[in-house]
Amino acid sequence: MYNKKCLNLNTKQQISKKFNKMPLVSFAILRCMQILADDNDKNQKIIYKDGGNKMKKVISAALIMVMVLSLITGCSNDSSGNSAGGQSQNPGSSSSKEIKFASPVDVSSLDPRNATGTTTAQILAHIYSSLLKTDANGAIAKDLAESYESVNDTTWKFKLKEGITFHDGSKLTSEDVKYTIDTIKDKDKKFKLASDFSFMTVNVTDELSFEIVTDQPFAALPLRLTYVKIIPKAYVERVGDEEFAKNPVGSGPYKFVERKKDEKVAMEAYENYFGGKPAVGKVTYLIIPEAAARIAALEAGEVDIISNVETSQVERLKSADNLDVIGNPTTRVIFIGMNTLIDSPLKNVKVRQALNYAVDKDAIIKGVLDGYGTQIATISTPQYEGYDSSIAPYEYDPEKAKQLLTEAGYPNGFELKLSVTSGYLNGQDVVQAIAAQLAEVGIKCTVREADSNTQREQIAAGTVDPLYMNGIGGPYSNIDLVTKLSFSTGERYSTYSNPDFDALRLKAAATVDKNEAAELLSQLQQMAKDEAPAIFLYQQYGLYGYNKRVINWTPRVDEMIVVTDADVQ
Amino acid sequence: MAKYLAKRLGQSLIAVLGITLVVFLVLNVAGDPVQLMLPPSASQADIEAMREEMGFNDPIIVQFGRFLKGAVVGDFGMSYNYNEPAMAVVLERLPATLKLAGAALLISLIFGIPAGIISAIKRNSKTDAVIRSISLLGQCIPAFWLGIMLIMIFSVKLRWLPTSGNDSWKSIIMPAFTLGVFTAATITRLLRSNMLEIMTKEYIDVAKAKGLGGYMIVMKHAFKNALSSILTVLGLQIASLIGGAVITETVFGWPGIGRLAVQSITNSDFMVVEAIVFIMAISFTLINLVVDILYCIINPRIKMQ
Repeated sequence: MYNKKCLNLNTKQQISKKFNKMPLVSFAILRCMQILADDNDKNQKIIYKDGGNKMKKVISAALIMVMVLSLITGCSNDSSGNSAGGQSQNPGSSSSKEIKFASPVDVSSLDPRNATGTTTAQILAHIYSSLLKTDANGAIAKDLAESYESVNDTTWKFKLKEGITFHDGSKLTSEDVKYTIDTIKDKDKKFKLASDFSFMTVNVTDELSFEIVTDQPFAALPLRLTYVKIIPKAYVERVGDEEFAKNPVGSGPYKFVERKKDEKVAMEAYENYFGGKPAVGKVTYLIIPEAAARIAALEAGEVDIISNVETSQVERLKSADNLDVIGNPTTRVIFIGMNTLIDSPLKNVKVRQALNYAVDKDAIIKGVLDGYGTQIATISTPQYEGYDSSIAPYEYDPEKAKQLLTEAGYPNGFELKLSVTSGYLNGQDVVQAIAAQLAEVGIKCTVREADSNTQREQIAAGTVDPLYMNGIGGPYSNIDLVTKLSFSTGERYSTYSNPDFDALRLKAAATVDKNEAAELLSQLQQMAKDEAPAIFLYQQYGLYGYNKRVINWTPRVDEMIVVTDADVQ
Repeated sequence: MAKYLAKRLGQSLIAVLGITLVVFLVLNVAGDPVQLMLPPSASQADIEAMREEMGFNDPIIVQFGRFLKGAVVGDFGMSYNYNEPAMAVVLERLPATLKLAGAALLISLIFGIPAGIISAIKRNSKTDAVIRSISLLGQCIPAFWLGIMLIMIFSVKLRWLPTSGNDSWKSIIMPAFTLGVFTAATITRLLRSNMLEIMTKEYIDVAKAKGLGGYMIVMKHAFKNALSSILTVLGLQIASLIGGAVITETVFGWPGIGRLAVQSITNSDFMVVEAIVFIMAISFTLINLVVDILYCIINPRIKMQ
């Protein structure tokens, strides 16, 4: 998945950062001078003499009051009245226990068929179940499925667990699975996930058994199925798609209670959950866009877990007795993309390798990321299926880099533009460090901060700067997705083209046999290293602040906060 | 009066139309929403098909025509991000913004008017110096910094008020204060200088000569006349309170349209941006219209032309 979660919070963080950095004193003095100047102007203005008409003045005063009052009363009928707003955190029976967690952005939709982005996925993971799910380390586990196997390259056989019910009490059957996939694919309904499932067909065998047939061999089917949440056919058909999105019904550990857009999503434990009723009775997701406000909410005890903690805040939080910070590797691969579609020295593979040798990843992770990063060799994190640990990252060797540059015909280096968007952990600082290291071998980089959307469009149009920071990851990421999105011929967000590389990727993607696939993926990683279509950097960490009263909660590699197994003391 | 009103309404309509046209054009130049509507794995063919279907391949004038046709009946199309009608997304958040703007205005009037009068009456006294310093500060402190400081003091240290959200009446206190401080300071400073100006007028001398008490002179003669001249500023302040709460709403996680605007711009959710601009443009022009009418009522020497 693209870094959508990050896109949303960028502007706000930027605003906050800019204000933080702004020299407050000089700003204030400047404003004072402006205002004083304004005052002088105002004193020059002609002030009309009293017209003497009392009635009119009374009317005008009344009108002002009406304006003010209407502003206030006109909105008294909004929905803020019915919420509890309490911050009671007294442990006890499961129904009185509550966990609140906060991230910067709201969910995009509660209808899983329209759900994109990590934040949305993390809320859906509480309300819904899927055939398969991933555990905290990214390994695939069974959820609704009792068993599954691949019958042949394009057919997968599934059996559902018995006795699973939706939150409305209805039974979950194969028909619900079929309905879910069928409606996602339905072109008229225009669901956002349509293209991800268009090649799948569900053939119902009986109430609990069915087959999934794919148009072409698709090895990553189990992973893909972790993101289709099964919806209740009868309920959705009865109330319609629009109402379903407002009042979703799933079969997950938590029932949907209330959503207030841009504010919160409230959920409560589902007593008949097939995995056993959760220990905590109430779970509330709060949307707090501003980083400093999230920290404050955690410190004030209003929330128990927050995401997107900045490295600069770690010490502060750790110094509090009841709070702690945890940094967890995620599935997000961070690299400096190279635009090889435009004419530049980057078309030469030796230059691309030289760039990889010239960057000291270790120093960056220790110095800029405070250790919150794990170096990766190529396109795969250790958590991805098919990761080959025998392929070592490029070591830091500026001499070798210079030698390669000389061989490529650039003994004196060259100049390039390097752009970075906000949203990556300390991304701006990382890029500055890289620019400094590249300068050591003679490559002068002009660093530019770009807007995320603009950069994405530039990548799609092939006009992006020769070097640009990029990160691919999220709940459904794997080697195939990273390679496909960023390094495949003709893909929207790819600025690299190599038919051999494409062929190898496609072959691996269509190989259902695990051992064979692993061999091909290993070759793919080696090729990625040799061809160096990017400066491969590190696996991004997710930084979470949490209250120590929360136990049994594990941060996940896919960046989601899921508290279904957690408890409070 | 009716003629004047009709003319002004016509002008307002042209202004709203102009603003929406500019926004429509700028957004169309700014980015391609289709890229963001489909998942990254979607193919170029999917994108083309979607673009064709959404009508993004039509000439821009045709697109604007279609946009206007919808806008007249409040239909701004579907929000890509929320999968709901854009206007509904905006209207859902408008009450929260109005509530915040109203509370901020109330705070600014409660603090601003007495402070301005006192400051003017007690010109060059210690009280005046204090009020002037505070109001100067009020205009200079960035909302962002003030908001965070308030959270640190009243939420983290004292635990009196919630850090963010819109859960209870307590939630509105800090954001309304943060937002209202600037307006309060503006009112104070403007009222002070206007009052001082008026106090030198002949009719004040006449009032004094008539033997009127200090209270009568200040409230009936000076304040009322000063009030008429701050009306324009107040109108603009109301409009900017509605539109300018972006930072305050973000700091306090207030679910209003300012925050929605920023989010929608970041997400290239153009339909929502257009709907917000439309709403803001209308409120700006309407408030301006009301202020102009009030101005005429208060001061008949300004003819309705």
